[in-house]
Amino acid sequence: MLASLARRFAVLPLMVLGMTLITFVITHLIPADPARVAAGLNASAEQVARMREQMGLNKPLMAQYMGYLGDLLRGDWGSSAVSQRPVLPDIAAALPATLELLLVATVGFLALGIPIGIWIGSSRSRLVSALLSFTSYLGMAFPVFWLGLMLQILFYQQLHWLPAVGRIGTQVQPPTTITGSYILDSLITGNWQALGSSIQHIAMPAICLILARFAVTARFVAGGVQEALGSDYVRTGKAKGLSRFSILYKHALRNVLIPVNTMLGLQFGWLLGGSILIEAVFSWPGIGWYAWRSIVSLDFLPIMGVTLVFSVAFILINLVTDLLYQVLDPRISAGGNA
Amino acid sequence: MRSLRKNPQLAVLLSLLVVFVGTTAFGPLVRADDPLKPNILQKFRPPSPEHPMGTDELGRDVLSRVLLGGRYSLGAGLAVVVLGGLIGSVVGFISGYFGGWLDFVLMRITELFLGFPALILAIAFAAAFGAGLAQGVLAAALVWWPGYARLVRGQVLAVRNLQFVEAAQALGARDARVLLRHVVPACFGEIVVKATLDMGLAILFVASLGFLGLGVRAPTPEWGTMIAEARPYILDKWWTGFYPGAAIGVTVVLFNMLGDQIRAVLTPRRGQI
Repeated sequence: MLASLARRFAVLPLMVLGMTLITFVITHLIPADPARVAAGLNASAEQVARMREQMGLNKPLMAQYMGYLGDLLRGDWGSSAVSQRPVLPDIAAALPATLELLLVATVGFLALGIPIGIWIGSSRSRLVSALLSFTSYLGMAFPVFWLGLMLQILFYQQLHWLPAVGRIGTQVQPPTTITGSYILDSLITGNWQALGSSIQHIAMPAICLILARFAVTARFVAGGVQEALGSDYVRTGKAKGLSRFSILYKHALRNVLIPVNTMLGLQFGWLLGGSILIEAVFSWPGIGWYAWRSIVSLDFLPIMGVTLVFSVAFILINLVTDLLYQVLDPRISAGGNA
Repeated sequence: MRSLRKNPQLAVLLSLLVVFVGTTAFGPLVRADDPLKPNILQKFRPPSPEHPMGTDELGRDVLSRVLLGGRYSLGAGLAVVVLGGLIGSVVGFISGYFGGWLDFVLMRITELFLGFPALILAIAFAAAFGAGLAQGVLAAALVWWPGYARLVRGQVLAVRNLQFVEAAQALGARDARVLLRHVVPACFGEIVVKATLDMGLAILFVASLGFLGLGVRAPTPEWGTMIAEARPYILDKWWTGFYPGAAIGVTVVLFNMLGDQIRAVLTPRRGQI
């Protein structure tokens, strides 16, 4: 197990290095005039010239790439052409909001999707499983940003139940920063007004992401449960006279968690993309919103910064699910010679 | 044809799709309203018999625009799948058939692309390419191919050592001939299934880029850009953005169901789920 762990960690920097190669191609080779694109739409000739110097565009390619890598490692990810602020600190400041949203959404769609999946996988009704397939089609088919707008019409405009945009009410003082999550921080500091407002604000964007993903999870779990229920160890359990509950939750579920874990890694890739769309709709002040504002003003370097941050996050999450996979499935961790 | 008779669901889906594609192809010719010409006196009319989907902020008929938008959305989706599928299949065939260092290098590149969250990489490409329908399609296709490369490589590996391929090689056929005459046809079914399932996803993908303001730009009525255009008014005038989104949803559901049915017909071994 240790050897395979070591191998995975060794691949990680190589993978990130490879990715910087792709982002290098996107920033330095694809645009007809990379310096003009990086300097922004309204840059003066002088600013473009300075950018050309900074990007080292007249040097050989290899030297350009080395310079690019060095800048990245030093934390110099360039500046926004609009606000002139450096990219990396802005992304770091926006990170907690995105983390909070994605965490709530993930907990939400798992809490909804896993029980529903178990229920459907163990029920023999064809109607129920057809209904689930259909729901998961719907969840995948309708654009998540459109779903967000529809929820805004319903819960904000028509019913006046929830606020349409933002992370906390404009009249409400955000809680003292401890973890960065408004919900946790206001719980810890006992700031009930901030807590109520944060929960109201996160509700709609989170519900959107949950609606888009829970049925996919449920379908996945249902498939796993069905397969597990047809397996030998379940038949043995039945023959031993184990209760249905014990078979389902003690034996089948553990095996079902293995594919669910793998799926979670892939879902996360979708969630990162979805967070840009959803944060754009709900003006949620996270990385996705930052990305969206940069896209709208064609502010190139911030877009590339978000690309790198999200890609590294995606790799790390997949590493974690890989590790969890080994914990969940002893057949793989034993000796690693499977 | 036989599989159609044996599988009524597939027949129904196919005819639905034909009607749908037909409507977007010929609908703009039937609707009298110009989907691009502003008519400010008619702006923000709610749905009525005259304008079944209402009119938008410039008084343009939403139905005409949704119909015309279908051409762009379906066309862009198709282009992404064909282009991405083509690149990916070529990589997969070469990788699987020749193996060795070529396989190693191509698969590492494939993994790199799969390591990025798809939408984000496409955003980066689209931002570098600049605005335009073709640029948006190219950006999407560039993140679309790795799935096909993996699928096709796996298929080729499964087929490569089967007897009919060995027989062709033993008869002295050249690599290109073995690939094109024997290996490619054997892998075709899986590629078609994936391409059908991907059509819906590709339409969604292009719409997401359009909503963010990348690739296709207004006034081109691609469905995603239509929603983006409607956004400032949508809270009061729901119909301006509701129908393009609904059109995306219906199209994607249709293609997904069709893909599942084609899979059931082409790969009967797996049985129905």
